[in-house]
Amino acid sequence: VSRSQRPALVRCAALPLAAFALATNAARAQDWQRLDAARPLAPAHRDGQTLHVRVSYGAGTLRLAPARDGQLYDVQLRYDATRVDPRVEWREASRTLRVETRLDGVRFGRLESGDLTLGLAREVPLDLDVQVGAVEAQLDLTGLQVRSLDFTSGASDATVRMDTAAAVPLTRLALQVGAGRLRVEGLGHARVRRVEATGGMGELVLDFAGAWREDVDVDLALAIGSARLVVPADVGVRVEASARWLNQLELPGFVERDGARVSANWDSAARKLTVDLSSVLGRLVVERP
Amino acid sequence: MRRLVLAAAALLGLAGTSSLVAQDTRPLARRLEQARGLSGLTKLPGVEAVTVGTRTIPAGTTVKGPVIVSGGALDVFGDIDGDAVVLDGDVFVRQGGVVRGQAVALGGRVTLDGGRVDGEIRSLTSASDIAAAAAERRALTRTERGAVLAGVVLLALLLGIVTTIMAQPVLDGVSQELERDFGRALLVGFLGELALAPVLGIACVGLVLTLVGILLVPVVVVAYALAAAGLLTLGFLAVARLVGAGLWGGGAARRLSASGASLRAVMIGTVVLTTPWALAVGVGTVWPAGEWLVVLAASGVTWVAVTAGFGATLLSRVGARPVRVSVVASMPVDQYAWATPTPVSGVAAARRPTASSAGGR
Repeated sequence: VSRSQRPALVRCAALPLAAFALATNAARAQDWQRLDAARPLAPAHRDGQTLHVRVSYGAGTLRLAPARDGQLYDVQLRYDATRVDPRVEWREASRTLRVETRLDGVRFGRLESGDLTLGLAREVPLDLDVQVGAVEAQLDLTGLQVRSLDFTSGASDATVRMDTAAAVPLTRLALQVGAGRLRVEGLGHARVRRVEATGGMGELVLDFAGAWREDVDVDLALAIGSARLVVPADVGVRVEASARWLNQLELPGFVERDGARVSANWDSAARKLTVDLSSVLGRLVVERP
Repeated sequence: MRRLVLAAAALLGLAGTSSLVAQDTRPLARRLEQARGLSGLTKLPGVEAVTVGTRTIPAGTTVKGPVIVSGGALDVFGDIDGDAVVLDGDVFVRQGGVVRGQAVALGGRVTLDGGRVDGEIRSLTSASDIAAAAAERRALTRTERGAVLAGVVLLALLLGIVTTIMAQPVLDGVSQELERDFGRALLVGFLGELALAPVLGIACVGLVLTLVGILLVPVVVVAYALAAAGLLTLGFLAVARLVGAGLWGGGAARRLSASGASLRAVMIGTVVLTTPWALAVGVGTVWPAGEWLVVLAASGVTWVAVTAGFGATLLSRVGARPVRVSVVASMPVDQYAWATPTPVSGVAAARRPTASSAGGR
């Protein structure tokens, strides 16, 4: 090694060492904790009253699924106590479960995210309000009695799914996507009549596969994002779009009728899906699997 | 005057004691406050209501809650009419036990062992507690250990078969090196094991210094690890063969072909060398306290086998070093030739062959 090469070698050696020191310092600064909260399902909870669940989760991984038998709810939260202030509250009078994580101060640098697993009873009607920030979310609503779902996502990658026909109709489904991606699968199982979906810059996928029982209306508001609707071939689809010249519509096999675009089977279809699109620079795609 | 001094001393002592008491209860009070925040049980009483150490609620008894325990477990066999709170310990609700309020563990876990909790079950554990619990869960049962051992023995037997079939000359070379000088092989093997990590480190540093070679570092690390594992395994199999041949290398082995005898020796030796581990698993069931002794012995046997085998592998250059065979030993010798000088050769008398000259190297 020549004299001229030595400073470069020293820098090469020093940089990884400094990075290692910073990384270990950041790792030391964390304090990982786990909070578990579960409530048994009492006979009083089976009186038909709705369980209200409010989730506000900033960053990490979220999983929502049916709870173990005999549990009304089951919360498992792993978090860094130096930056997250968790709150799990239960109010018996209003039957409300509130799960929140608040960021305590601002930290720079990439830090490991926590995770939240939430189990809910199959036996109880549910009103879900889920707000997530930068989260990887999986909501498996199969088998749950969801009457209402409000899902608001900032920059998350989220999937909501229903694999079997719902026992109760989903009377309200409101979806808001900021800059992330939201995919809802098995909407045909949900027994939903009206879907309200708002997309900012993100991507929204609504898959209407499943056992259809009634017609569905979709209120779709897009800024500059995109929405993809996957609709079974035997369902008739009608799209009414405002300011159509600014939008990009991909509706293969659709025909113009009365100021709207309808699928070829619109008149003959037993079940119908109507989309009311208001958009600025959005893109709507209707796919037939 | 003397009374005054005694009174002052007593006052000082009292002040000191009360200060100590205050210092002792302060962390507990803080922990209790954390428990209030965690559970939402804002009306929990103060430190005077806390039991320090393990507490048991016997079957058939009812205790008015809240029951608060610190630094120990709360075992509930009976009935707690209210909340159960444990600071830095676990709550166990045993068969027939009931907690009619909440069950809270701050720095521990709540376990339903056949009992019932009517209210919420809530626990907060730190990462170290979680790791300890995970380690506890990871501990293998005796049956699992037996299954793992059986798997390892089967794998060793399989490797023995493959090595004997595919690389018998290599195995021969390593075995002969072992026969020649076992102690030397053990020493070289030990030094080789010590050098394994430094050699890899030097190789990596050398590659990094060339800058271009940085990309090769992961490949070299993996290749080196595989090579080291291969050499250690080969050495172990050579020792197994030596042991097997030593124990059952008699008349029956001579009737087999060379490869058949070698295979049989490897199989027998592998089983023999792994027998101490089987003993360790077995002994633990009848004499748990002595299990570690057998494990220690089994570890020693395995280490000696692997190390000596590794040393022999290195000394024989992975079996490629030519084996020095004594010519004298292999030549037929007339038993009485020494006693019969021949006029042709003109030698007055030959030396009588001795054990050292016949078996010399």
